[in-house]
Amino acid sequence: MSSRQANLTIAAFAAAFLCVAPAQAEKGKVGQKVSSVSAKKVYTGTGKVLEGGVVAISGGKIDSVSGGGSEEFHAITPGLVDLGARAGAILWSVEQSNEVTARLSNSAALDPWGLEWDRLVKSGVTTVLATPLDQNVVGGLSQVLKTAGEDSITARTVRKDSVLRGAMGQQPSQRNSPAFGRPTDFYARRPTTRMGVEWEWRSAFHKTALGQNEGGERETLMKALKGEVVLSIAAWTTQDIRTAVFAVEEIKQKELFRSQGLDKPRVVIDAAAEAWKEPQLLARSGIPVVLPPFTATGRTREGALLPRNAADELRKAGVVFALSAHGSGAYDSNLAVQAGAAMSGGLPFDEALKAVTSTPARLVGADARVGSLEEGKDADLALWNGEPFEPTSRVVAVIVDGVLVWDGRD
Amino acid sequence: MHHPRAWLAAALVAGVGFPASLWAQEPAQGNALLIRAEHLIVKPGVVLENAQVSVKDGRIVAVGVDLQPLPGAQEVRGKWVSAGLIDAWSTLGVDPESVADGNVTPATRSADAVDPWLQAHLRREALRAGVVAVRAQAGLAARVGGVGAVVRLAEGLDDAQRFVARDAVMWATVGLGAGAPGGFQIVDGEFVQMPGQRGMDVFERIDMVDRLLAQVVAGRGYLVAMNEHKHELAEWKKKVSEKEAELEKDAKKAKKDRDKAESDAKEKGKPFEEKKYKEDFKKPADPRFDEDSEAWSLVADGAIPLLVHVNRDAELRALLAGLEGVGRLRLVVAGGAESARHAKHLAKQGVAVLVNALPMGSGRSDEYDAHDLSLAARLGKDGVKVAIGSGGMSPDATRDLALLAAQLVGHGLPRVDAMAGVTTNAAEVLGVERAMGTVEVGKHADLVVWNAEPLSTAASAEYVVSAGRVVLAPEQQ
Amino acid sequence: MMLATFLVLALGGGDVALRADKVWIDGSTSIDKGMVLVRDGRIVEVGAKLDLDEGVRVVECQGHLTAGLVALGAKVGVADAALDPTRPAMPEARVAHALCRDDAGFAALRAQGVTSVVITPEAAKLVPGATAVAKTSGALVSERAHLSVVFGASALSLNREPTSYARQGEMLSELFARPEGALLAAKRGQLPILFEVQSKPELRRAIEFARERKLTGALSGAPLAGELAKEIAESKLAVVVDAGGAGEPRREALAMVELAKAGVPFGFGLDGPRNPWQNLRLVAALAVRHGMPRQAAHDGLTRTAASIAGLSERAGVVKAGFDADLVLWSGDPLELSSAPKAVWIEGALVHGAVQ
Repeated sequence: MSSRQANLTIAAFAAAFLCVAPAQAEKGKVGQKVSSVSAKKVYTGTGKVLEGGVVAISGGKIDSVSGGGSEEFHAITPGLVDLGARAGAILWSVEQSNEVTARLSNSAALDPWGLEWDRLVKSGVTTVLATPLDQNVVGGLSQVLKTAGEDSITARTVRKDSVLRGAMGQQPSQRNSPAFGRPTDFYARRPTTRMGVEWEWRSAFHKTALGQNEGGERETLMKALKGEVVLSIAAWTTQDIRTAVFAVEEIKQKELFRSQGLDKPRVVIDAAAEAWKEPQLLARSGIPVVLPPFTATGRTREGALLPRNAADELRKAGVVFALSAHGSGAYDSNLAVQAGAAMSGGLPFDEALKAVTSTPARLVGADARVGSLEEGKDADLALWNGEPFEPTSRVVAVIVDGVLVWDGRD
Repeated sequence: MHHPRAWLAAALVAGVGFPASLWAQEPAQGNALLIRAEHLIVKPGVVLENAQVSVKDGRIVAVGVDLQPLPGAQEVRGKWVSAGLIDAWSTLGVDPESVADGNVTPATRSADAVDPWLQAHLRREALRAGVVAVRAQAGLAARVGGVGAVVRLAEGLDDAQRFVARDAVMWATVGLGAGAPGGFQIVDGEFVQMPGQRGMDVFERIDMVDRLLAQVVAGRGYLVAMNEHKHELAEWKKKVSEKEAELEKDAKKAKKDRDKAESDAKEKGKPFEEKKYKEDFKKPADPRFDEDSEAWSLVADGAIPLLVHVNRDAELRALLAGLEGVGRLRLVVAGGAESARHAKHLAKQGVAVLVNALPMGSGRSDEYDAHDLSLAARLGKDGVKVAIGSGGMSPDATRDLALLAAQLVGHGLPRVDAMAGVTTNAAEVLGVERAMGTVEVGKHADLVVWNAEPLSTAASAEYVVSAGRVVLAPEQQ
Repeated sequence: MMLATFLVLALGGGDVALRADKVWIDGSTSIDKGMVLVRDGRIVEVGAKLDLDEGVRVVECQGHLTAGLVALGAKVGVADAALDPTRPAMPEARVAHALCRDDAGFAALRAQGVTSVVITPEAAKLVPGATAVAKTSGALVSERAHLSVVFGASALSLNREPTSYARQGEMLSELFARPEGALLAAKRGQLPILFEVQSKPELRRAIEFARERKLTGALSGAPLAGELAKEIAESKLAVVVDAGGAGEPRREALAMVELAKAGVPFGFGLDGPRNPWQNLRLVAALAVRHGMPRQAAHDGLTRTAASIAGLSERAGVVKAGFDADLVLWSGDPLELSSAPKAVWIEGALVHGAVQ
């Protein structure tokens, strides 16, 4: 990128007016507020493209998005959103003394000084869903938060405790063993099989509907069944995805739930690698999915199959989906690369952009603030040196809440 | 790690007869420099007030009280100036994997593992604390760790400047952790000593000493064989050349005789048969080259010191007794927790002790529950030469070498001996005493300009001169 | 038995005046050629020139005289007895009950010039119990000095509840919601809390927890606490800086300096039986090397540490009415080349000799 193009306008203090671009272009200073930024192409994430677009910013919010600006960058997109970022998914993020710990929040396990944030920022990701480690059937409440900003999780949180996280399938049962004849530790615990995991899920739902649980557990599960918090279920393989869908459909159909208004869960199936095998089922149920990262072999570490055309197949079937990099900031597997991979499997650019911005933002109810470049929304921007998601392009600078948080230009 | 070829090349350069100095690499040409000191520690115990040091081309060219700067010389001034400190027991500059490598051989050269880009921040901190050079040593977990190098810490030096000595010392360990699991391990990229070695019994330890001695003896045998071969080869060459001279003298007659014989044969119709000369002298067969024996022969001949990490009484005694007969060998005891009992003997034999100055408390997981910091003082009292190292447990501790030395003063070591322990004596146990350790004419210019007396709490380096170059100045702070 | 031995070595029955080259009242005040009058184990008077009664023995001391050092968070005299990870909380446990007064560690601490020590239970559960304060003579000063409350991951286990930060916070909230005994005393501010933390997020959670419940005490353990010096200063909590020893990362050394700059009260601690006693002063010296004012380092070893230990009315300062816990150093106490020549606890000589 030539220095003539690099013309990020920086105001030392919050500027309520549009700043006039300085004559001399230079690399921006991290931590400074940006009053406007322009690019050859501004992709708003709502399907619009502005040639020679300018994004004006004040008070951390987008003031306006208009045409006719200079061309500091090649492209601007909304900051990317990853619902499977695995940030803070450390051992101590999940309470393993019980299989169902819906009420517990993972916010205490999040470290604002952790090194993961920097990696995410540099790959253009500005908002993530941070979930507890999938060691429990119902692991607990999760946070939607920004990847940069103050050194405080509270300050960075977009929606606190807004997603209830759990896992279907083998993961929560892995390494567990029955207690008979063994010294007691936490691996001598339930469930030990896939069937046991499913039972725990249905048990949690039914106990809630039947009033057999109490306190925070009950309160949180009620919220999930009423759709007041999003229910994110990790399910990799076809069988797990089907189990999750059937469990949700059971709730929606049963009188026990319907009569109490507990039939409105807002479910997202995360890590749904094999969703492409059941497009009709998902389309029928209306449950959106988050795809895990593509792999070179087409098979994930969990043994699920994930071909490149999976995303496009879901689009064709009318399934709502988002893409995820599972927190990777690596140049060959970050979220932008996932979008590129989906495009190589046939997904059109516009859809790929949505799958890493506006769709994931909407799925966790954060779309009023992030996921698109529109007046009044948070000024979270990824600035590119070429066409987004092309292998020859990369994110070269990132703005979060109107503040330049990274500038990787030479 | 293993580079037999490199070793071979070095062995050829060094020669089997051993040159006087093994720090053959000359520091590159540098600019002239004049350092003005309020107090100049020429060497421990010798302090000049308001003195200067003149440096040119990497060397100290003059030390005195009325020196004028050489033309174009950069001038630096400060309160205290001393020789740069040397950490004779460090792991800085060698990657943790190589440090913990248990599969090295005696011929392994730690110099090959030196990574000038590794731990850059720790090197800078060490320089700021006045430490200019360390012994880089791989293979701390092996019984014989191979040949250690003396390396300058400053960045931006070329290879010739970086190595004070590529082949400085041979390192061996008796007891604690050597070659057994539970010894040194890498945890999260850090090199740590693991528990599990307390059970090693006295017979095993003495057996280790015997094996070590056998290697030294074999090295000496190899040296003798090599020298004999050299001798025989010279003899053979001499005989051959004598014969050649003789043949040359008789060449004219021989040609005449041959021509006659040929024409005679033609006349008689017989085929001419060339007279065949059988070789009179057989060339002595080349001896078998063995890199490990080669390395040990350097030790046996005293070309490089032998540093043995040994703590307990039994093996220390066995070692001293066993090496008494090996003439030129320069033994240095490293650690030596129980060496104070043998202090008089060590002093008489001229065996120096490299003490580990790192306080360990009961965290120590080898033979000892505690670590007596008064060891250096007790040894010094009996006339043993004491060098002070940061213990080779963690690369970060090298930075605090001066504080650790000061702490030994608090435990009874005279201040002047503590300073010697991190300068002159450290240089001596590493065999580089002719290159560094004092501020004297002819030495390499490895100097520190301090803001306070070097062993005081507040001391830090304002300038560091390494191989004649200013490698650290206040504005870089 | 041990105390009886000390009495024999005491400064005699009557009044004794110690005269030293320099007497450090605390980190900021010193008297050249100062005198300290001691009677019945207490300091009676301190000054440049004292009007002494006849018959008062004057002991000439070459070197610097300071208050005895106070080590916070040492594991002396308890070995493994302070470790019980099987239960999540034991608020009524007292480490004093496990104390072995003949531990060789006491003598080693005296040799380092340490006269008082806070002994802590191992931070292997949410509430491991009460700390003890002892003189290094072995005499117990307080068997319930602080309540140890653990916000660090060391309280988490995979063998019992809690296994997560979330449940840790929830359980601690529950404990303080219905407090009894030691917890009640802690909640009422009668018993200061020693918050055991490691990482910065843990430290911040402890501060928030203390603020919401108006708890008092000190934060112990986080090596980078100084990077949050401002927040800590606002919380009014003190800090125990664990002595890392030689090779302590520069970032941690600079963090200590930040604590001093922000005016956070702090003292130095020895965090475990594996930490060599020498490290207490070594780390103070390291902090000075990295820019901490000498006065702050000195007070961190004496005055402030004493106040964190709950000894602010009797130790840490060379002052009339205070215990005669004194150390005669061969030179400046912050120079590592200086060593304790003589150590007195309550007037009794417990290490070394004046000559």
